[in-house]
Amino acid sequence: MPLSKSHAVFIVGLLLAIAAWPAHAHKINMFAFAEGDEVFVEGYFTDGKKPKHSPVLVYNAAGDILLEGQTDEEGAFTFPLPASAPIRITLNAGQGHLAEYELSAEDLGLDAPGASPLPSSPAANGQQPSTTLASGLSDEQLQAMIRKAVGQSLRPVMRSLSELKEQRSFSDIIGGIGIIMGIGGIFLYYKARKMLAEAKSAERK
Amino acid sequence: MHISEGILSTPVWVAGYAGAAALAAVTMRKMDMEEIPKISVITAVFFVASLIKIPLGPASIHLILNGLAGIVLGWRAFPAIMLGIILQAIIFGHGGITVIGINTLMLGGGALVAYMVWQLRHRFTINRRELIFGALAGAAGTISSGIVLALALVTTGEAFNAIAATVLAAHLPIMFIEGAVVGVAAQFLLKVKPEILAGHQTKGG
Repeated sequence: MPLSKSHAVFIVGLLLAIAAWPAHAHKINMFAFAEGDEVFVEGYFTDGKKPKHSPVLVYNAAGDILLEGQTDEEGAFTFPLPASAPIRITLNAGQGHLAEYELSAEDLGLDAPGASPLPSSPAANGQQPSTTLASGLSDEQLQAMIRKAVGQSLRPVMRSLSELKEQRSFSDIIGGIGIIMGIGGIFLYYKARKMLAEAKSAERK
Repeated sequence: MHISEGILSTPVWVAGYAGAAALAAVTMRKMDMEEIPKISVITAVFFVASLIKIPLGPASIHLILNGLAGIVLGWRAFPAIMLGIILQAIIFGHGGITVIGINTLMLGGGALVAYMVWQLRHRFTINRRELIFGALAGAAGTISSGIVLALALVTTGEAFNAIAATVLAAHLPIMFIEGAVVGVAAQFLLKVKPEILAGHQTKGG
């Protein structure tokens, strides 16, 4: 069978798919995580643009709006740690682009009841509940500062993780094309069976 | 161009499913065996097109190619795009499961408009009419999808004029690129394999 033009189109499509890998579409993504006593939210388009001044809504478990805000120039938004969990955050980037993100009690560091906002360290357990350090900061203040600093330095890591999660692999693309060809094959099989059955009944006559 | 999940109210996306199912049923009637491989190939091209990044200034855009589906498949472009959108939603996370219907109406509807524009070429006897009408069909596919997108977003309470203006402005560069790509593709297919084009009539026939 000579190579038909539809085969050629298919091969071109396949080559384009390969050229596009690893590929992103124009899609809004977001991530959020607890940073000390605040929650940090950042949205981004897969092509690198930032959703500026886009409305952010935070919902509680019952679906009521806890608070609303807007992203800044960098597509980021920060709000105080809520008292209850889980929460659902949505970012509406306009033109039908909406991203959602859920944070559980564990994500927010609220899972140990009564321990909030900060669990005491094992060393301090049962001993002096609050020691004052040389800097004049209490144990709690120091822990809060550490949490905040660690949270802030985690931002690029969270961003990369989120981007990695959204990246489509070559096998995804080939898998999708395979499904399309497979469905085409099923249709053909069904049609061919019908044709054969018709041909047979015509022979008998 | 995909509407994300969670933006439209339930009646709207349910209506989207109903509309898409009805149009798919109509456009799939009396499908010939010979058409199936062609439909599969175009579905695959549409499926991967959204992943192909074209750099444009600081950001990038991706092709939609629903106009190309329209000029090659005619009415059959609608079921092809429906399958493409289902797989994009499942595999790439474009849009979402609930919005498959409305996204199919949006992009598949654009393909049908592109086909209608494409068919108008028979009324003209100008030079390079396939190039010109291919380009017009490609642009029409993008514009009409943009209009459906704006209409869908009106139901969320946005004013039609405002949202239509933003959507169309955002899709203006895509419209030109789609027009160029589909026009060139039409001219190319006319030379190498004219019978692959929808509504192609051999001379004298």
